[in-house]
Amino acid sequence: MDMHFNASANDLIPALQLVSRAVSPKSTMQVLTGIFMSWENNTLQLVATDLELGIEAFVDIQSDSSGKAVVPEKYITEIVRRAPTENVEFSFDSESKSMNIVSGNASFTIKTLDPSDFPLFHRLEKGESFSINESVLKKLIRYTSFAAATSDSRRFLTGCYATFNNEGITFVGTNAYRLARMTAKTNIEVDHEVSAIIPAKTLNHLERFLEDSEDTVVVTVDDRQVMFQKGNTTFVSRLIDGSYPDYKRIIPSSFETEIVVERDALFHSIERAALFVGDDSSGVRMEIVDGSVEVSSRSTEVGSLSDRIPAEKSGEDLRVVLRWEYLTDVLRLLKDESIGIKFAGKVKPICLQEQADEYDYLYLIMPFNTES
Amino acid sequence: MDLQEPLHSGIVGQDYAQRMLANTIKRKRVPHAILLWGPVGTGKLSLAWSYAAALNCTGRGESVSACGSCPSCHAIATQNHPDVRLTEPDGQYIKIDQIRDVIEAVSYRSYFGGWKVWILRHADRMRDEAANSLLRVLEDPPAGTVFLLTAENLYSMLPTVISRCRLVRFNPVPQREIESLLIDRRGVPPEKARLLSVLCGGSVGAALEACSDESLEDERVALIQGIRDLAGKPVWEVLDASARVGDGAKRASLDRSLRILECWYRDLLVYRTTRGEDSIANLDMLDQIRSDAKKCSVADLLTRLKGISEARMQLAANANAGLVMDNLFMTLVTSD
Repeated sequence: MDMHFNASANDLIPALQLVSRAVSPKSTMQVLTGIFMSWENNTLQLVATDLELGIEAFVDIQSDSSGKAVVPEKYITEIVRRAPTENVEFSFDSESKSMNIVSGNASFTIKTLDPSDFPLFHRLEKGESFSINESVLKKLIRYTSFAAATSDSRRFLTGCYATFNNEGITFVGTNAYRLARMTAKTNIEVDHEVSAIIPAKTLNHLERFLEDSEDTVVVTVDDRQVMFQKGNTTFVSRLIDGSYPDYKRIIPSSFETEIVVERDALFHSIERAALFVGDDSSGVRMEIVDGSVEVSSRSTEVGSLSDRIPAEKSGEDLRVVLRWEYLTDVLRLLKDESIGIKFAGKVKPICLQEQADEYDYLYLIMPFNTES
Repeated sequence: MDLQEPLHSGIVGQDYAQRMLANTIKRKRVPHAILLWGPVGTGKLSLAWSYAAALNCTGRGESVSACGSCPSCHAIATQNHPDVRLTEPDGQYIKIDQIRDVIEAVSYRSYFGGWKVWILRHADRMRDEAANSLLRVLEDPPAGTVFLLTAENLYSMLPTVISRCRLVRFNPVPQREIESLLIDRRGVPPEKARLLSVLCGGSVGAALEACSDESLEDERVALIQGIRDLAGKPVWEVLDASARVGDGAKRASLDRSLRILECWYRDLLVYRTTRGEDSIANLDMLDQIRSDAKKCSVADLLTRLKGISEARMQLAANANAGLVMDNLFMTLVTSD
């Protein structure tokens, strides 16, 4: 029997492109190379997952029946994108298991996969649930997830450690050489504190989707999964197993040296110095003396560079060597024109902070341990 | 506690393995790594899937075996269960990138909330660096995760990996069990079932494969007739015949030739010592067996069988196939 529905390409394209982000092209499970479609009561549900992240979206359609199918992601988005007319008519032939897509005079027929094989994620029923402001969540992710490891055998470092309690939400990301922590002082209502290690990959996908708006995102966490719902779009991600290291121990309590510098001046100076950082990751050297910071770098093969920017200094003179990206990454995010940097010692963490009424931000860089 | 119920899996002759795995479920003491080892075609992989299904089954109630009809069982049957996954050699070996993917995937909490089961097929064909990488996760496995390794040859595995697994041994399946399996489940005619069950050397997999292999029958008749005809012939003819079998032949085909010969001399020995026809495999050659058995002594037959088993060991040690077959044929034809 044939099952029909009509959809508007303009509605369908963004939804397909969104859920496609969760499709893993190299998956060993064939059904995961497809997008799950279920249509009923003038609504089309679209789901894709790579077993780590799942994305679900809904689109308004006109349907006279209900049905399910898994269509290959590789083709369906392109078919709809290239459809000659706004109206796209889908009909599913349950006997041949093929989907016929008609738009204008163009007609496509594609084979589908068995929807009963598709691992739809289970809705989180138990677990803590609360709402937060969309822009707050976006900021939490943007300020922390970049600091997490991209790949590490210590898998928990590839995620952000999120803590939700009545005082707010804290996200921490670290790769063991740098650490970013942001606490959003927002009122959420949870029965007890919840913490989870959320894959940074998931958070980066979510961050791209979120907007700087005052809309509400509903977050639900249990011991296996976390779910973010905005409107009728849902992101579900599995959590990373393991216990997160006690990162608080490495936050220094006292500092030897503090400087205040122009953010942009430091940023550009570090960028210049980065030019001569060799493949041996020798790093950028910062020499802090009264009234200025000398930034220098040297590559045995290319050459060397030195630069000086004015700075207000208090405390001891100091020389540190660090990975330049670790500094520029955070300088891009900070808002204040002049920023303070605290140094706990030659081979102790370097600390940058930004504080506001609604959030606290802390960023640590571990300098190289070098005697040169 | 009732320990009598084995884990149901559709395999035969592995009572010990089935009971042992059933007990881990019944006692709720599931090891984090199990190494299922034994000869090829004895049901290691089938039992691994059944175990994974039983662990995650939502419909088995008090039974230790999977129900086969719940959503989890259905997903496992179609190999679409997100928590039950399989890795097998990519080409000749399991490579380190494959193990890295495994480690990444098991680091997530369970998808459906049940056990995460990872089957590593042919774990004896894993590069050392891959095995060392796996070792780290075996030493400190994520909660709720079970690794099921299958292997034929323990000697090519790192001892450090073996020592972190619960070992479950698979034995060659008794000939009678394979014979009745072929008749009952595959509808193989009794005479052929007898032959295949002896030829397959305790491997159900090999017996099932041989069911649909038409060339086996021709080869068997030709080989046995050939070796019979060589009796009393000059050496060069013997060597000609051995070259026809040995030169350019693949390992698998040599192995099959050896099995056919072994089965033939086994029949002669059985008939020579018992005069019984109940256990004869080459039933279509009963007349030849009767006449040949009279001509040779038990000692001769044993020498020939020993020659075959030595040839097999030499081939396994990568000896020159042509020379091994020359040597074997000389033993088979001239030892009386």
